[in-house]
Amino acid sequence: MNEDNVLMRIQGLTTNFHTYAGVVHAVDDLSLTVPKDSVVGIVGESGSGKSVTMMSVMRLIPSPPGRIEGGNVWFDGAALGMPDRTEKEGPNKGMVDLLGLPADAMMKVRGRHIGMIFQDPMVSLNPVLTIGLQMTESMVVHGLATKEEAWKRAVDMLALVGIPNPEERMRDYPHQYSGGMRQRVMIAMALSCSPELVIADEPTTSLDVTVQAQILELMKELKAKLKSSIIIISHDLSIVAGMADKVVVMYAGRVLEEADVYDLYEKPGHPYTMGLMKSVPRLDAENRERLVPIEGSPPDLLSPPAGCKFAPRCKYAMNICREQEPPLVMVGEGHRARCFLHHPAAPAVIGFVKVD
Amino acid sequence: MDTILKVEHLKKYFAVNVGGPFTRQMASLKAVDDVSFDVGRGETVGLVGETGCGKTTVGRTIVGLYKPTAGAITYCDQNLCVLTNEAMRKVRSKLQMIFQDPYASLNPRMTVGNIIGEPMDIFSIGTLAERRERVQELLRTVGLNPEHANRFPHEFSGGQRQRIGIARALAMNPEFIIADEPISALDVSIQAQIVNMLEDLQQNLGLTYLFIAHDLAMVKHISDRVIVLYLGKVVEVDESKDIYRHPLHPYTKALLSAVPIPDPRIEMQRQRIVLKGDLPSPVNPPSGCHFRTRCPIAQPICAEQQPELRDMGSGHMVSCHFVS
Amino acid sequence: MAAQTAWEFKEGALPEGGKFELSPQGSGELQQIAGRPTTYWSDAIRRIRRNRLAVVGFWIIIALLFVAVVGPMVSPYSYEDQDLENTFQSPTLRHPFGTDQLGRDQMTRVMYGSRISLAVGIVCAALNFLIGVTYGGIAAYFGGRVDDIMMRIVDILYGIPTLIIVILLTVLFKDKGVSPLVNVFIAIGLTYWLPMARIVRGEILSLKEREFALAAKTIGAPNNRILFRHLIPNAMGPIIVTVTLEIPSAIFTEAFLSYIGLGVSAPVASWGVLASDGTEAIRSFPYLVLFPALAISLTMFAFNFLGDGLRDALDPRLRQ
Repeated sequence: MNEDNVLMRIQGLTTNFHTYAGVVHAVDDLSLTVPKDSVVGIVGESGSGKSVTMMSVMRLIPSPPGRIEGGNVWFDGAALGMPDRTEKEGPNKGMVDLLGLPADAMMKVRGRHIGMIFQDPMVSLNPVLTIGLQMTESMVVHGLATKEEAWKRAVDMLALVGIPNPEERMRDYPHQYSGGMRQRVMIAMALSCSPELVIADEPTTSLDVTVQAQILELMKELKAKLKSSIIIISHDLSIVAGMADKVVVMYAGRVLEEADVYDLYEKPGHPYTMGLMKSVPRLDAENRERLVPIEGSPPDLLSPPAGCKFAPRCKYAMNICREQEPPLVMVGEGHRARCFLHHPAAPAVIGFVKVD
Repeated sequence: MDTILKVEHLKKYFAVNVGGPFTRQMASLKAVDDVSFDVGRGETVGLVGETGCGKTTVGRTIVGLYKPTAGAITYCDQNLCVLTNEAMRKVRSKLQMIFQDPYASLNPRMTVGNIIGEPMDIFSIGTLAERRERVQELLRTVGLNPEHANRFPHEFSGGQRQRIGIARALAMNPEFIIADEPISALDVSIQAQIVNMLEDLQQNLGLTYLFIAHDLAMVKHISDRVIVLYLGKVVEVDESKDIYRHPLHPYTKALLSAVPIPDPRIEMQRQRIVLKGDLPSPVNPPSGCHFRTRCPIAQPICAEQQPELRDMGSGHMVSCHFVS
Repeated sequence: MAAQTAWEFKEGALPEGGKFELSPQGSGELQQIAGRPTTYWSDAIRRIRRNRLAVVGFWIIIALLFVAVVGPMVSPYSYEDQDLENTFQSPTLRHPFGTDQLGRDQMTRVMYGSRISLAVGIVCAALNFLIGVTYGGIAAYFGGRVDDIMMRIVDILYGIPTLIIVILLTVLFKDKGVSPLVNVFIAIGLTYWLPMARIVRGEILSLKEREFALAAKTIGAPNNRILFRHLIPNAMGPIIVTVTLEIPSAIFTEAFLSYIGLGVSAPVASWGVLASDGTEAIRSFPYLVLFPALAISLTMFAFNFLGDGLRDALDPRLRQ
């Protein structure tokens, strides 16, 4: 990957939650790169740490009980315009560590440089303010526009996301919008300051399938029109399939696999990814085949298993998997997987290339 | 195949207040508006549709949680709508329900053993020891450790809780199970476990399912026949393998094309039929065909005339003016 | 990019051959559950233990109960024994709280007074449970017209001040040989279950739409079973909090009524009577009002601290 092409690089991010029952290792030593002008899909089930990772990046982890224990989130310094905070040399030259920023500087990053789209638009919109007020607020606060300019831009944004009569609808309150329309407003709001990065956390989960299709089409359209990078978080492999350039599969706070979207779906390099694909029925399947589930339950993050976190549910688990955690190794061009089956000493299993 | 359940012209309207906070203006929300279908013994029928289409209301009316506004529900030649509460309670042992949210459907103050054993407790079946024995057996049937009978629901994961809900439904040896979105609240890797278990149980116990869901791919997988609902009305009924290949109703077509497929090669190229707008309010549905406001092929006649549900041959039923 | 391409092993030692044999854990096993068994109540107890004030309140209440039961028994004096040679004694070792105008031991009287106060508290709690919970539960569960009528009755009763009820009862039972304490009990009984009925109704209204209540219906559970086995146990948190906060209020009402002469009267010692008697001599013998007043305040604080602690510990919205 071209080093200059990096918009955000998460390095060794570790976020824990300190609860009565013990420490929950929600995200453990996670590294991840988001290139400029790309769509990264993060797939994982509940408790995989996908949302916690993004909330850590935004520094929105509720504390207590949450605490970011370590790591860096490097963001393109040229985009942020914070020359005195930018690394002058080293591997992260020209980057700013978001985790090292003071709170007021971070406030300028949120909304302005990183936009966020949440799962439930009804909860994320303030019910007592008009849409127009909420849309113009961030532009005015970030000093990007005067009130009048912001209003104009907000109307344009609403039109862009396909809201009919945007001028009139600016004066409406959130409850006057339907679920799908509210999600469009959320998207318009996230994009209003032209952020370099948009994080969409399960943007369609609370929507019906036909409305989900509308939103996904809209996001695809916007991806072509705008220059923002997008991180799309989902529990559903099929949602990211149509949008992402690169997909990251998370499990128990770790990256298990990371690959180009075509590679991931065609030659998955981790038994968990394979399992996920076999456990959902396909609408285009000709015959009714029995599903192949992943047995067992997700690990308890209070006392995760030793070794590979997926080993207790893995069909191909080996003795070594229960003793130590496999490293994330390169198994192909831009394709990393955290599995010992890629080790030369492991038995041959179809689909796993050996890497020395 | 003999018919185990027959639903005829079922209507369920709810009274809702459409006035402001201080004014009272009642209107009827037509959750289910003239729905008819039947289910054969041993069959799995899928009921699909989006939020507000009335699929949950249909299920809940069948098990007697709601009183129907009009219509008849015949279960094993017995009209459930005219039964007294006492008689209905007896029928319920054969007619069970699995709920959507495994976190909300189990009483958090009761142990798992008590939850599963409650139906037997209510109908005073067997001795205490026999009931305990049966609870253990049921736990084993749904793949849980019988030793956990004295634990509380919150100690279990979502998938395990759904297993407990299924065990409770099985306690009275039912014949017919209404599964209301039984997997939509579960993680992807767990969904297949539950679906496979439901299939196995059907095989072993000869169950009949009415499977209510919004996930078309899963409904297609598990059902023999699919009923598509839109705004309280049936728009299409067909064998599940045919409905994917030859959908006739424009809504079914749109619904199918909206389902994402986990394959980037297909997904990136796919031309979707994207429906415009949102679901109209069931308090004030469009005149004529309910779907016409979002339909890509709507014509003036659709606003005037309500299309009949017509049989297109071999049980394929459609309600659209332009399907022939 | 920091991606590893090389395999790393612990202590640098290459693994032996056997470690790379497939040995998946057998599928089809029964699922186990993770974690230690915890219940709602053990969770709540753990949370309340971290709340110091609530723990202090709890121990004060226990101490109070102990004193109320054992105190008058072990005391060498009786609450009504007069000793006219030793009136208005300041606190001494023989009479730690002093004696009153009739030479009665003030400490014994305060301890005896706690019996009356706690009796009031217990009656209030019992009525809260018996009437308030059932009434509110039934109103909410059956809803509609039943709810409308039942809650309007509550509204009407709410409108009648406790003081008026007591005055009416006093007039009614005058010269009928009914202990004035009964008046107080009836008055508290008539009014103190009302807030409970409202709270329980609100809880049950939301609980009855939850899926577990619907599930109970589908397995054929009769109404009373759904209400008393499924719904009310799930409202236990707010119910207990309400009771704990209602008790001090009832105790205070009794003290207040006795203070203004509408409750129990001499020689029976209730905190209100003691405080009232004490105020008459407050200039010369302030300790006479000090101890009963302290007892009242301490009880108020104890129950309110415990109630607040319980609310924090039991309220699901505050759970972490």
